[in-house]
Amino acid sequence: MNKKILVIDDDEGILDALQLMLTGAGYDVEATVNVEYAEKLNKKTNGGLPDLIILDMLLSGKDGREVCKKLKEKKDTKSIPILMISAHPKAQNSVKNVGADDFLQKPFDMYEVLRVIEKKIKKADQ
Amino acid sequence: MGNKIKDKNGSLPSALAAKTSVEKALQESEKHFRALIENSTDAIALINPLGKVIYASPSVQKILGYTPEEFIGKNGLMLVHPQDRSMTMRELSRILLKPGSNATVEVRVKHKNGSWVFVESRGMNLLLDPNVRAIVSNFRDITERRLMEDKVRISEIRYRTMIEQSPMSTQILSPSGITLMVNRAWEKLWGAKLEQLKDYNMLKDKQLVELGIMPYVKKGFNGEPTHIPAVRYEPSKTVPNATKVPYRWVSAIIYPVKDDEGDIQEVVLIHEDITKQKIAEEKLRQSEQQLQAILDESPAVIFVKDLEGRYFLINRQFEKIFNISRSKIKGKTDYEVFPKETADHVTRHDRRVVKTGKPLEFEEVVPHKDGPHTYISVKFPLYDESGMIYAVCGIATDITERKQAEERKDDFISVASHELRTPITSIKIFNQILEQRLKSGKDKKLLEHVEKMDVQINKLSVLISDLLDLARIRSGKFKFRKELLSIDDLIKETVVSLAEAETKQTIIVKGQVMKKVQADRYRIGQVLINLISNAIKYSPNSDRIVVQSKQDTEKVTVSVTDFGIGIPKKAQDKIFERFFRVEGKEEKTYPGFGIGLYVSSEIVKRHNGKIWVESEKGKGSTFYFTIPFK
Repeated sequence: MNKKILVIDDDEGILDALQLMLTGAGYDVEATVNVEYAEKLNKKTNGGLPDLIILDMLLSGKDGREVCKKLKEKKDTKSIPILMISAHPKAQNSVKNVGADDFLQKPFDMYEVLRVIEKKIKKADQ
Repeated sequence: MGNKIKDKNGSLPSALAAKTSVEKALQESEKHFRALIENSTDAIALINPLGKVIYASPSVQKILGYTPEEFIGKNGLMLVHPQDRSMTMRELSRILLKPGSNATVEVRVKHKNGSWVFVESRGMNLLLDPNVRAIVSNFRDITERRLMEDKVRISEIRYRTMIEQSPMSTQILSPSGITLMVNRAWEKLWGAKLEQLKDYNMLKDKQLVELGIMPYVKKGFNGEPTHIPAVRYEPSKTVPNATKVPYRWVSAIIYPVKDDEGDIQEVVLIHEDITKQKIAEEKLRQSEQQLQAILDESPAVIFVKDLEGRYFLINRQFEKIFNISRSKIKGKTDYEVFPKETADHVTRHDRRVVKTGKPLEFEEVVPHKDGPHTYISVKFPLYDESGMIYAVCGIATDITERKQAEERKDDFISVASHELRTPITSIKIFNQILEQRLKSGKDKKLLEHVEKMDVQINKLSVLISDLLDLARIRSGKFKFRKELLSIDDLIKETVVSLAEAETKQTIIVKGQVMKKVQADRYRIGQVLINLISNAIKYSPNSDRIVVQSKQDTEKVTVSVTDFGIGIPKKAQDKIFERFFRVEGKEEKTYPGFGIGLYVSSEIVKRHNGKIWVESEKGKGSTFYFTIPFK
């Protein structure tokens, strides 16, 4: 079964690009601008929990780090690897403090993203 | 001391005696007359036309030391001082020619003891008087008086000479206001002579009325020594055509000279010429006014304080900013006019300037009613003639708005580069997906185009990164993560990644550094990329770039050499400045923001290293940077 990745970004362009890229790489992708969706994630969520979450930091009114912190605090979601992305250079340090598993600065290279995702999922599986 | 009648010592001449014996009625009267003569302090002598004494009253002894007996028979003329003798003889002959006439002479007569006695002698020709038949000489000792008169005369000469020679202009006037005398200093001061004042009456001088000093002048004429305040007097108004002196600033003292009775004999006016002083004062006033005007129109806050911190000059902007008038602050310290907090703040740098004697430039934030203001301030010492510091001057320019505008600009650059990154991110991904798809297809030409797009997208990303770095440097948010790294390894990695771009130049690496340095891998890599990319960019017609590393005891030195267009001398210092691009036809054809070297130099500076260039136009450039081990 394909691994499932949830992508949350407020920019449709990024969502489209990542969805295309990840689908092409053989992942099942759920891409959304809806932050609440991520916040409400639990075992009973339709379609099950994702294997990895790609989370943008600044989400037009919401701080991705807050979302990350909540997910990492909840029992159901705390073991899901979260890869945070941002164009903001200072983000790298701050995302570690909220428990993000990795960080990529925009603009990123497709192959680098895929490499990181693969690594994180493998690690979570073990 | 009065003489008593001494019949023995004095006797009347026989002619007179003969008469008295005949006229009895006169005897009593003669007795009185005789007593009068013999008791008088004045001496009386009767002299015959040849000058021989035929009678002398007892007082002669008191005056000339001779008893009357001794004196009688002497030739009076021979006792007169030789120098006075001819004059005496002249007078004597004059009265001899005219019976009843008289003459008065003041002559020196020899005392019995040999000294000279001044006598005043009044001679009367009574030769034809049957009762006398002699020349009657009535004389008295005036030595004392003469000595006194001499003293007075000398003192008078001294006084006149003194006035004449005095450097103070002196004018002596009659009590009615007519000028009696002026000295040389006066003539020089006013450019006029005494003769030219013959129609001038000081008490009628309209100019003195206009200048408001007539009351002072009158006070002097009325007997009271008075100081007359300084005025600008124009002599040509008073004595037209007499002088070429246009005006003089003078102050004066006027005082009366009174006689023993207290009557005013003369009025003395002494001028002090203060023209030069006044001109200097006027110039000083003008220059102070100019300075104040310039200072007042300045948008900067300007002040001068003495070494005790007391203000003695502030400008209008100071008054406005600190809401205090110059009259209120003059002579006061910061602690007397401002809250302690503000005073502490303001005086902090003053002491340092005084201590070091050197100008101090700094940026400071001062609390104001509408919030904190940023000032760029320079404080510097003022030195007196002897080279001692006597004051501290401060000039502070409010750069709050400029600063805010710069911050807004930097914020804008920061936001803009963030915003630009998002679309680039998706474009890059789409492009890479496209590239991936094409790799498995047959259209290799299309693949090539897409690969070129990728290169361009990467360039765009780098440019945006540079912009963001710039904003970070400006806002002080340029942070580093230093680690111990091998500079040679970093050079190799960088060169490998750059070589992928397939440039026509070969990058030759000559490394020989063993020791590791504390540095930010990403940032130093950025410097290397920047220098090598520039080397590639600016040497399109050469085939190699040399990257070399060296170490000494203190530091690592990395150099990047190209054989390209080179940099003109005058631009070599400026190329590390923000937004600087070398001007010139050729240079303009190369792309770039003028940020790369600025960012590189900031990175090197924050590693406590140095960055510089050696270059010759047309031959190429070598960029160097150092990173110290400690």
